[in-house]
Amino acid sequence: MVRKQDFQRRADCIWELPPSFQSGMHVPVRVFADSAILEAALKDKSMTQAVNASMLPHLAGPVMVMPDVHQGYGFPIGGIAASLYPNGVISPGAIGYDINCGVRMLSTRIPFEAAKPHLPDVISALNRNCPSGVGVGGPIQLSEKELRRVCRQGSHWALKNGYARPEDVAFTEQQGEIEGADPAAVSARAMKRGRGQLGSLGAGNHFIEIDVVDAIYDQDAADAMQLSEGELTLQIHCGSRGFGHQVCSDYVRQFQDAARKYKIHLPDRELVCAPLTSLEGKAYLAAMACAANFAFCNRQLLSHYARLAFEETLAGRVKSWDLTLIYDIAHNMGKIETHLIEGQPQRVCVHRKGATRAFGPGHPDVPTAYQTIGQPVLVPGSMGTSSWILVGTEASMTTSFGSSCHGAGRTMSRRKAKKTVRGERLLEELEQQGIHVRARSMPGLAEEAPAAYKDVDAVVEVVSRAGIARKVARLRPVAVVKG
Amino acid sequence: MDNRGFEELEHTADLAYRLHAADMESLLHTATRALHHAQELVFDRPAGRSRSLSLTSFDRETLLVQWLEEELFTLATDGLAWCSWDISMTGDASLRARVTPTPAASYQVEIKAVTFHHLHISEREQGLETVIVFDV
Repeated sequence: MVRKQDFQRRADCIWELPPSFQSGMHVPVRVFADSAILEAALKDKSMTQAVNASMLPHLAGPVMVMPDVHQGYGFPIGGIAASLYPNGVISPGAIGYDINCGVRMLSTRIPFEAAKPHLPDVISALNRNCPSGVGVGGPIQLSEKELRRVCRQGSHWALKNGYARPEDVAFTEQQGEIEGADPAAVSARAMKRGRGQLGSLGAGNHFIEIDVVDAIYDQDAADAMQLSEGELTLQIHCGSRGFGHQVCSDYVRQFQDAARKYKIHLPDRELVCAPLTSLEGKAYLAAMACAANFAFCNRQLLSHYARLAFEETLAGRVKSWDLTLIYDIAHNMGKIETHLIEGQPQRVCVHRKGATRAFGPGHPDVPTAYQTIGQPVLVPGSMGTSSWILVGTEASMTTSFGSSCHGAGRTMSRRKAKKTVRGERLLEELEQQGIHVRARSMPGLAEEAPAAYKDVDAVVEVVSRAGIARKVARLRPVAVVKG
Repeated sequence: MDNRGFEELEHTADLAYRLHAADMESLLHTATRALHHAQELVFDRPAGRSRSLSLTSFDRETLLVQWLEEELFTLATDGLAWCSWDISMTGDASLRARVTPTPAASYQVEIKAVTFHHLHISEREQGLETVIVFDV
């Protein structure tokens, strides 16, 4: 049981739980929170899970916990752990089953007022064009050979096949293609699941949302991202679908044996890991890269279908209906990166689960257009609340392994949300607020009610005060497709 | 614990169930029904043709996960779930089963995975007990 008094306050919105807190901890747990968020986080098992994560071997620094933290199933959602490379470990459970679940944001030059009368048509077209819902696959049935290409090429597969523009690829994390992907490391089962799912949104908390730029906090950064107050943006939130789920399931099961083989003792079997340079570790990295590339390609296809939906419904009704990619970023991923550890550059494997990479200005992995402002950090809200665009900072590089928050973070269980909220009523309330919603399932909509989430503005305030991200723009939702 | 042999536990983001059964075969049976409960799975079509299945794991917990993953995979790829199953343990962590995959009329919740989160099958006075968490 972790209590507030066990933490030491290190700076504004930064708290640390020292390794002396519990036997077996190798590193501190560093939490980014204000007092209220920290107290709320202590009510579920998220901090215990962060303590367990600090027992992973060969970590390069503290386990980081973002303010949108909530209880997961082994590793907390909103957690970051960096293991030393090449001597550290990789833990599939610390990345999650939805490998490269992430968000992309597209800007438009469409004024909200001009589009307002047409938004019901636009959101219906998005709902038609972008397959969503439980068990619903995509419009393409890939051959196994073609799926192997998607695994290796990610967004570049979409580019070669007419689903992307060169600039889409340039504004995707790692250009939408993680190196080292090897389909031979992916099981036949994962391949079978993946063949029919490319270009689909899925269910749960996945969504497509049209927002209006509500306020701008950093004009230079907004200009670099072609964001103007009062104009529409589009967000797409989804991941690697059943393909990634199967990859992770396969390796978490295989690693049960590997952890024994390498004599790695952990407090939770879901945290199982293997040395990065072991056969098992290398195989997982190769398979994870395939799933990550699948997810980049998946969001790219959905962007293509979204462009078609905008054209279908807005051509001739507004001056310009084009969608331009601002950025696409993963929030469930393991990446080999270089960070300064005690002043020295050190390669590490950064596990981010429900956390966003947030590289600062000048980092070579940030696209040229954002070199002076830092990498865009996309923070979706909860359907009826704000979403945010932030940028990474120099401080994020030294304080949080170049990471920031990924959303609002749940506070209410799905069951409780369904008992408390009626989907039909919520739909009416959102419509009354001017938010058009298309959802496959009313219980599914209720699960994702804004009341089930933390206040995203408070979460963003924390990362801003802690200096690990800087506010660029706040967005207001006007239309949502719920998976 | 009700007479279904499982109860749902509070979990912020996912679905957690405490399972209770007299022996390993019953625990696997109860776990399958808990999974169907989590998925809000409904059958309303005639049962399909049964098939046999053999699984071997290195411990009982992994066998439990592997068993449930079999059904998740069948549902994800063929839209079929098991409307009946007959399990015989052939070792401490191995089983042979006859399952009847049947088209699911509907299911409302997509379970991404069966997790190992604190998965431990405990011996109790009345049998076996465990908690299993499904990633949603």
